[in-house]
Amino acid sequence: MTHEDIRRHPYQGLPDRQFWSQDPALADFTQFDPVSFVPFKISRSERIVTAGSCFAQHVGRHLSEVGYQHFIAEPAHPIVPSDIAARFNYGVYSCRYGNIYTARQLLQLLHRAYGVFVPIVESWPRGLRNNGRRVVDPFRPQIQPEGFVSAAELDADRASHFRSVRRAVEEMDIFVFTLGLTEAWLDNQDGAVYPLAPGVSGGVYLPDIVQFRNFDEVETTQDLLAALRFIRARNPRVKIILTVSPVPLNATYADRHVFASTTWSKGVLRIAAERVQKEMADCAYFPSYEIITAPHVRGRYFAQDCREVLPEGVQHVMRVFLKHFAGEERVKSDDDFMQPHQHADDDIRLRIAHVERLLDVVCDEQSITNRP
Amino acid sequence: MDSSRRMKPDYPRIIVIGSSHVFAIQAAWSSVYDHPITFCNFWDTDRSRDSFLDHIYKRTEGELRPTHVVTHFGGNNHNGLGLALDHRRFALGAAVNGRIPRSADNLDFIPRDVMRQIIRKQMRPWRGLNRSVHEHFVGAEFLQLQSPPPLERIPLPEEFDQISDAKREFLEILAKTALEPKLRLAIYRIQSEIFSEEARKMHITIISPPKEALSPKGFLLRDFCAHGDPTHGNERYGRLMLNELLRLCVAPK
Repeated sequence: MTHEDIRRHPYQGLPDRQFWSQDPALADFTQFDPVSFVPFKISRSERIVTAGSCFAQHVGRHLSEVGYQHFIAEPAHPIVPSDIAARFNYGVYSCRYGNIYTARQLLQLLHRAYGVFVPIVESWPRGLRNNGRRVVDPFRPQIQPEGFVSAAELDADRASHFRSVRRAVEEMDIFVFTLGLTEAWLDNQDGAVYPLAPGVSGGVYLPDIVQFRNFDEVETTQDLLAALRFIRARNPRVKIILTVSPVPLNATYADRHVFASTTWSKGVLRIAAERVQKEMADCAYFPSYEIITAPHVRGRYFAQDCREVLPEGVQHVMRVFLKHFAGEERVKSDDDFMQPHQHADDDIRLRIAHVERLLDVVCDEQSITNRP
Repeated sequence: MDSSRRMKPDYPRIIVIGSSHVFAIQAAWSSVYDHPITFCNFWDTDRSRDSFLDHIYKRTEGELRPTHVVTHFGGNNHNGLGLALDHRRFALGAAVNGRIPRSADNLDFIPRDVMRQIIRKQMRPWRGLNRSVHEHFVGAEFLQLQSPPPLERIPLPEEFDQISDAKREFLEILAKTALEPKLRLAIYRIQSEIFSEEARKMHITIISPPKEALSPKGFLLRDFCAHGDPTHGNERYGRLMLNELLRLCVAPK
């Protein structure tokens, strides 16, 4: 062994990506790319199912826009015009399940779709219209703007929805799941988990009936593993991509600042995703959270409310996503987005329209306020 | 386009403005009644919708200005939406039993609110015409005719003597693609519900299909259906509607 072969310390000779100061994104934030390795590629012929918190809506839409097959297993019927379909949340995700914030919610959806679990409470009253018969689905409380005309109609829609969920599970090639939250509300009677507390968007808040739960990293890992194994048991060839939503919590029930709850929650989700990725074959972690929140981008990707992710941020995430999973080096980049258009006013209008469209994301967590 | 008779001063001056469903009432009036009514049927003219109304407004100035304005625009959404055509069959959400048809648990499902919004969207141009008429004839009494409901059983072309090729072709399409009767009736009822809501907002009196022309289930009886045309009422149907219309127009306020 020569003197040159001996490393002075264990970091000597490691790749640049492992050193903060070597990152080209320090000089140009658009170069930020924290992905080192992905275990598989995606082709344009593969059916991609999306689910998760509201950030996941961007993933499906962008994949469709650049020619990938966002598999819509529960499409609107052809007689439904596209604007009405969008208002009723068809095509936002692969099925009309709305936002799935927690790993427990994902597991519960699968169990319900396959008849493993039937919650005691299957509908919440919505109000006095239709002689008080209108209801909302406690598990997708904002899937219809005014709920369903009756519990019987909700039952019929749910049966159709579950059929679509089973189809998605069994026919998909790629499953992209975005972990969003750890806080949830559980029904004391049977442990059913609700995405929103009763009373926020339908239903009545009765403190004796529901309990607040903040799932930790052990529970989240267990739930996520159980959900993905449940899927694999029915579709062994499915490849899985996990991401964590960069969108901060809108509200926390824990008695502390909402940002403190956000960092805790994102930490839990990040750990759970890492553990599950190590545990399962053909399972990748994709760092959406990191790209949007990295100090390199200096907060540029958040809107004025410091919560919504701007289109530039989504573009960056999807550019890196497609670079690694599809081998596409040059898809729409931030630079393309920033280039001047024909006329300044047109540019502004286009940008506003683009932003409005992209930010028109169903995020029912926003319904939570501390106002009566 | 108009078929009006000279009006006596003490008669209510009635104008009926509408489209295909006006034919039934127009036929009834032509054959029986002496009461002067002005009919303006969109299908009798090759004018655009806007110039159709402009023409009516010009013809009804001064002493010819109507005291009662009866409209019937659109009203055929249930006929189009009640066909499968090249689309997939579907079940429709319903308050009772959850869906129509009840047993169709393997079909695409369209929630009732979604169907309402589809029909509302399709009706938008007709609503615009109705609003224009309403705004023009300020001070008149407004009434609105509802379309007849669908037949329970779609007749086959061979059940009719001497029908036009167009009617034959339409009946053939219906025979192949018409959805279940209960589903067609449910779509019709959503359409009627929307018409009624709109009318209520604009203080328009609705004239519903006469009970004598309907089966106990609410379908149009075959005897009241136009010859070779299951989507429109015939003269007999029109006579019942006209009776009700005249009753409402001359009824003391």
